[in-house]
This record gives sequence, structure tokens and C-alpha cells, in this order.
Amino acid sequence: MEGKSPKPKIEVQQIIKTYKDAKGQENQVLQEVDLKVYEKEFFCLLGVSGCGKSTLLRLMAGFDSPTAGNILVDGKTMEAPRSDCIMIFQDYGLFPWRNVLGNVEYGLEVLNVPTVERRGKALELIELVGLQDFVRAFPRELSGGMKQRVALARALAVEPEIIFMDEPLGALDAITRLKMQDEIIRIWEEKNTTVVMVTHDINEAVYLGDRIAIMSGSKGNINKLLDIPLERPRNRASHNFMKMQDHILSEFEISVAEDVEFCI
Amino acid sequence: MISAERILLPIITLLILLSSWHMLAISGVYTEYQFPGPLAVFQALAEMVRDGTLWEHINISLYRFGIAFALAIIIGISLGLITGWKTRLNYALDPFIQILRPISPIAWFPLAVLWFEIGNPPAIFIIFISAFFPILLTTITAVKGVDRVFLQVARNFGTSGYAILRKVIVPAAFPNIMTGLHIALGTAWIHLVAGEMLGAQSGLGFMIIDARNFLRTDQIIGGMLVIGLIGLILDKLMGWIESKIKLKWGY
Repeated sequence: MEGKSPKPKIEVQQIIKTYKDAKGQENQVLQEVDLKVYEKEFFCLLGVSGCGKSTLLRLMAGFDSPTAGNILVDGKTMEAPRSDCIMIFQDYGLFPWRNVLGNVEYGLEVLNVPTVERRGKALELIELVGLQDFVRAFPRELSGGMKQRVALARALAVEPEIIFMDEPLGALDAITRLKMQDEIIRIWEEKNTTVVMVTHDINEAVYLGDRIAIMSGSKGNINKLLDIPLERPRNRASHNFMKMQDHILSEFEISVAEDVEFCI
Repeated sequence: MISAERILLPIITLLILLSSWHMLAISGVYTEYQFPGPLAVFQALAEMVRDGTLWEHINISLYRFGIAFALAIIIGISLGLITGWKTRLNYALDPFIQILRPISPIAWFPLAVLWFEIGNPPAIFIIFISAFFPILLTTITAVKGVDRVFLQVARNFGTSGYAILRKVIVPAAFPNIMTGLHIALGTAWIHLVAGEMLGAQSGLGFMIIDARNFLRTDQIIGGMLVIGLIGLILDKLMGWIESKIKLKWGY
């Protein structure tokens, strides 16, 4: 936990979320979830499809309200999406009618930042994500990885306190995915933002996360919270990395929930 | 690059059509008044071009069409944007739009005459009606079909109220609205002729009615060809504008 203040940035308190399905049956997706995400932390929510991890992320970002319980950001209840907590959606949500510059500028435009200033800032961020040669390109002309970079730059433009990512690399090919993981870490280290990321990729979670919450599909709550005390930059081939990964793997194969804190 | 076949094949079709038309006309099955041949029709057209009547009729028709279509675009799109955006307004209006929509513009004829009497207004009204509903409905559908992610992103960055409409809904719904305009253009042009048969004293529709009164079948067919040709040009023009704007907006 080095370099991280113990101040909780997000507090999830006893969250319950139920949905009515097509037959009108109540479906409990989240059951009494408790969670703290600390400031400037890289936090991963790991779980299989349908375990409620995306629902939890949406609740934290204010896109949905819990059936019961409370979500606090900086000690205040999260009621609606805010421009200091930006969500990066799985399919990026880039505006197809705006080019790269237009997309990155969007948030600043809404905040009424003067044109010259917002252009300068957007260009700076486009350079940060390595898209300086595609400033005028439209989303349809970009590859998945490039779109992801634009979404990242667009989020960073408004200098958010928290960035939420919903399986941001899910649609990328394996190699681009590894490259983007490095990019995300580089940018996170430079910008010092709190990141909460949903993923179903164990390797990705171990590579990126300061901590990982493993969610169980059947119960709709957090099975286990793990610290990843590996030094950065992390080495995917190192003994400790593999050990960590194996441990999580076994978590998924053995469906028995143990409430024992894991330590290396 | 347009291939030779794309040019050559339609020309062959045209030649076949013209010669069969000519053969049928001279076969004696119908009198010349009932079924004039291509030569007679082109002579009639040439005559109307020479004395300038054709241009006059085309001009006045395009003028009415332009006004009616512009009105339909302005009212149809603005009403459609708001109705599609505000779910409650949509609930309130939808049943009534659905009742009015299937009524043929031709069924509005008697009312058009009662309300607008003669001259330009009834024709403009009929063209308006025929363009308005397709535009309104496609705009509503286009707005309702805007990807929810775009709206969520907009909300996340703090976009609110009218800015959501302007910055997100309009550009996102735009390609489908444009398709609606394209369809409406065709429908409206079809009804222009009908609209101009209502007490108008000019225009392509009147031209055909007038030719019928004088049993000038050659002018009737000539007028029909002109209407078809202008319809084709308008459609191509619309398609061209559509692709230009879409390109500019990154679609």
C-alpha cells in the first residue's frame, strides 16, 4: 500500500441492488456489498460475467441508484453522474460525429472552457495517449485500441478525481490489450487519479491493480479482497506474479467462500 | 468509376422501351388521342419548351414544393426532436400521430379546398401533409434510437437540458433523420401533382389537368415524363447533400 493515503475516496456501504426481470420476478444482483476504495488507488473488480461487477461500477459512478445502502464519494452520497467521476464505457461511447479533437474537447466545451485553452489542453492529452497524428480522424477511422486511447484522453481532459472503467480492454486483441495495460498504468502514474476498473481477466487485474475485489457470481457480493504488493513496473513472468495469479485462479475453481484475508 | 455496363445497359433498355412504345402507337389498337407515340409526345414537349409554358409550370411547382417541404422539415423535425426526447410528450402524442399518419394526403383534399380555397395554399398544404408525417415519424424514431451510451457520456460530463439536444441528440439522430427526409421528398413529390389538381391555375399538376381538358394526351404523357425526371433529379440532389453532410459529420 505504499504511496497511498489511507483516506477512503469511495465508500460502498451495505449496497443491495435488485432488478425486476421480464416476468416481474425480483432478481438480486448485489447483496450487502461493502467496499472502500482509497485515494489514488488502482482498484480492480474481478469476476465472471453476470456477477454484478458492472452493476456495482455503474452504481459507484452514479448511473444507477442502489435499492438499499449508500455510496459515498469524498464522504458525500453519490446521486448522479458527475464530471469529476468519469466512466469509460466498454464500447468507448465516442461521438461518431466528432473527430478525435472534438471528442477530447467535449467535456471542456460543456464546462465552457475558452476555445484556445481547451484546444491546447486537448492536444496535450491527445499527445499523451500517442494519437498526435490522428487529431482530425473520426472514430470510424480508428482501431479499437486507438478508440480506447481517445476515450481515455476525453476522460482525462476534465481532470477527474476518479476514472471508472468498464472492461475497457475487453474488445481488444491480446497484443493490443497488453500494450494498453502499460499505457493505462503509465497515464495513471502520471495523473495520480483514482481508478476503479472492472475486468474478467485475472492476469490483467494482477498486472494493474493495487487491490483486487473478487466477486462471486452466485452470491452477488465480494468474495475476497486482495492486496497486490508487487512493485511496479510489474513483470508478468516473475515468480510472485505467477503465484498471485495462481492464487486467484484457485479462488475461482474452488467455489467455497472463505473469509480469510490473503497475505503473501 | 462507373463501368461501361452501367451506362450502356440503361441506354439499351431506353431504346427497347421507345421502340415498343412507338410500335404500339402505330399498331392502330388505340387512336392517336388515346395513345400518342413517342414522337408526338416529344413534339408536344418541344412546343411547351419553346413557348415557355413548361418552364413556368416547373417554376411554380418547385416554388410550392420548396415552401411546403421547408415547412414540413422545420415543423416536422422540431416537433419530432422534442417528442422523441421527452418520453412523456411522446406518450401523450403518439396515439394521435398514429391515427393521423395513415390518412392519405388525398383524403385531405376537401379540407384543403375548404380551408385554403384556390391558388397556391391548398397545393402547398397537400405537399406539406405528405412530407410532414414521414419526417415527424422518422425523427421521433431516430431520437428514440440514439445510443444510450452517448446520453450517459453526455450526462457524465455535465451536459444538461437543451445542450443535450443540441450537442448529442441532434448529431446522433442525424443520419436517420436524413434518411427520413429522403423518403419524405419522394412522397411529397408524388403528391405535388395531386395537390396541384385542386383549383390551381398553374404548375405541373394543373398542366396535366389542363391538357386532359383539351384532350392533349401527348402533353399529358409529356408532363408525366417531366414530373418523373424532376423527381429523379431531386432524389439524386438529396442523396448528394445527404452524403456531403454525413461525411462532414464523420458518418
